[in-house]
Amino acid sequence: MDSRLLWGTVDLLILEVLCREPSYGYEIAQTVLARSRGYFEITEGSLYPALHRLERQKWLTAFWQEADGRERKYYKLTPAGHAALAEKKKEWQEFTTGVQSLLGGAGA
Amino acid sequence: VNWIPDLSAALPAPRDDEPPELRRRIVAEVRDHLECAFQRELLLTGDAAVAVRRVREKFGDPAKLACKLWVEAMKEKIVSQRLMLVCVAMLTAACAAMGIFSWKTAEQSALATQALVERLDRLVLSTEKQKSLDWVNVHVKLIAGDAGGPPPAGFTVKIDDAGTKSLISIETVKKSDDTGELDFGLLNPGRYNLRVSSPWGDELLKTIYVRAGESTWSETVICPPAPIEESTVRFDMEWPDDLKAEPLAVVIQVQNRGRGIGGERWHGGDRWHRLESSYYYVIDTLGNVERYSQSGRSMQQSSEILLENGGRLWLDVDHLPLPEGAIRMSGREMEYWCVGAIRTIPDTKGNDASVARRLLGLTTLITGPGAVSSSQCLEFNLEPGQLNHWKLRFPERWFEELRNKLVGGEGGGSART
Repeated sequence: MDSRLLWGTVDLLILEVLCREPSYGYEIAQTVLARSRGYFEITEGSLYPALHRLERQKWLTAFWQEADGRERKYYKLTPAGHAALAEKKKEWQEFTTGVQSLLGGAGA
Repeated sequence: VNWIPDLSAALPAPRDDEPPELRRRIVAEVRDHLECAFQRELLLTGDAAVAVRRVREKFGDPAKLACKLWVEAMKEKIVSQRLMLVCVAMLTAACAAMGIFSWKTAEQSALATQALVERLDRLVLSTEKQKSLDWVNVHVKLIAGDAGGPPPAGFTVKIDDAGTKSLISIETVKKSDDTGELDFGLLNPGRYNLRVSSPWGDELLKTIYVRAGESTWSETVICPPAPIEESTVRFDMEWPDDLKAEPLAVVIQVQNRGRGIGGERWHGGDRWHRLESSYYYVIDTLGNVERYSQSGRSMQQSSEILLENGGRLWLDVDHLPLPEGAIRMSGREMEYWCVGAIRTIPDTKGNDASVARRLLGLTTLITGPGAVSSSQCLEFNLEPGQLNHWKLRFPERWFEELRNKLVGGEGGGSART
C-alpha cells in the first residue's frame, strides 16, 4: 500500500492494539500485521518514533519488564490515550464513510 | 548476536540535561526488537545466519534508528536550549547596542559639554578682559644677584602712587619671604613708585607703569645679594711743586652713585649718605685729610678714609654748606665738582682734632664765588678689600688762577700769618 496512506493511521493502529492490553514494539508490529491480514506492515523506523511520541503526549505510558533474559519495554494506554483512540476511531469512521460514499457514488 | 556493537558511539555527544537512562533504554529497546525478529526468522528458516541477514535487511541501520529516537527525545530540550542561546545572543547584542548607543550618547554629551565650557570660558575671558581695563593684578618677583639667583628674603617692597596722579590713592608695603614672590593684588592701570629696600639698607626706587588691557602685570627685580664692603681710600693730591709749600688745601666731597645691579642703580639710602655725602674732606699739600660734617665741626685727621664699595664715587662740593675755613672754587655748570682751595697755616700736621679745628679757624680764605671759575668731576672706582689710591688731578689753569690770587692777595685777608 501507499506509505502515505499508512502515515496518517499509524497512531490509530498503535492505540487500537494497545487498548486491549500492554504490549511491546515488536509485538505491536506483528499484531498490526496479523490483524490486518498482512495489509499493514509498520516498519521499525515508523513504529518506535510513533511510540515515543505518543508516550510524550501522555497517551501511552511505558514500563520495563524482564523477558527472555533481557529488558523489554512495554507500552500501555492511558485514559487520555483511550479518549484519543475513541476520537480517532470516530474521525476514521467519518473519513471512510465519506470516502466510501464518494467511491460508491462514482461507481453508480 | 551483537546487533549494535557500538551504538553509543553513533549517538550524539552526551549532554548535561540528558536523562541518565535514556541511551541505555533506547539501545535496550532496539536490541529487544532485533532479538525478537531474529527468533522469529530463526523459527522460519532454521538457519541463524540467514535469520540474521534477513533481520538486518528488514530492520535497516539500528544506529540510525537509535540516533533518531535520541534526537526525538531530546528535541524539546535542544530546541529550548537553542532558543535560550538565541535569546541570550539577542540580549547580548541588544546590550552591546545599548552600550554603544550609551557611549555614543555620552560622547556626544561630552562634546556638547566641552563646547559649552569653551563658550563659557570665552565669555569669562572676555569678561576678564573687560575687567582688566579697570584692574590689573600686580606681581613683583625678587631675585638675588643675577637672573638665576635665589629669591631673597626680608626685602621690603613698597608700591605707592605718590605723585603719579592715580585715581585711587594706594600705598602697599610687603616683605618678601623665601619665595621672593609678592602679590600686590589688583591695582588700577597707571604710574606707580616701586621702592625696594634690602634688610641692610640698600634701596632701589623706580617708576613702574601698569598698563591697562592685561590681566596681570609682573615686575622682576634683581636685588643685591649682600651688603657692600667697606674699603680704605687714600687721596693723593698732585700739587704743583711751587704750591706745595703754600698753605693750601682742597676741599672735596665724595658721593656714592650707587651700584648697578640688573640694569638698575641701587643706592645706599641714609646709611651711605651718612657715611659719605654728609662729609667733605680737606686735603692739604702735605697729604693730610680732614673730615668735616655738614654741621661743621666734627673732624678727624688722617690720610685715609673708609668708604663703602658700591661702584663709582663722585667728588662733589656743590650745594653743600662750606665748612668754616673752606671755600668752594666754583660750581657754575656741572652739578658735581670737587675741588676747592683754602689757605691755611703751615702747621697742619697735628693729629689732634682740636688743633685742626684751630688751624681752620685761623685760616684766611680765598673768598668769592667764581674766584677759581672751573668745575671738575672726577670718577673713581672703589676696589674692595684693599687700600685705594685716588689721585686728584686738576687742570693747570686752576692752579694758575690760584697763583694769581695768591700773588694778588685776594681772599679777604693775609695768606700768611
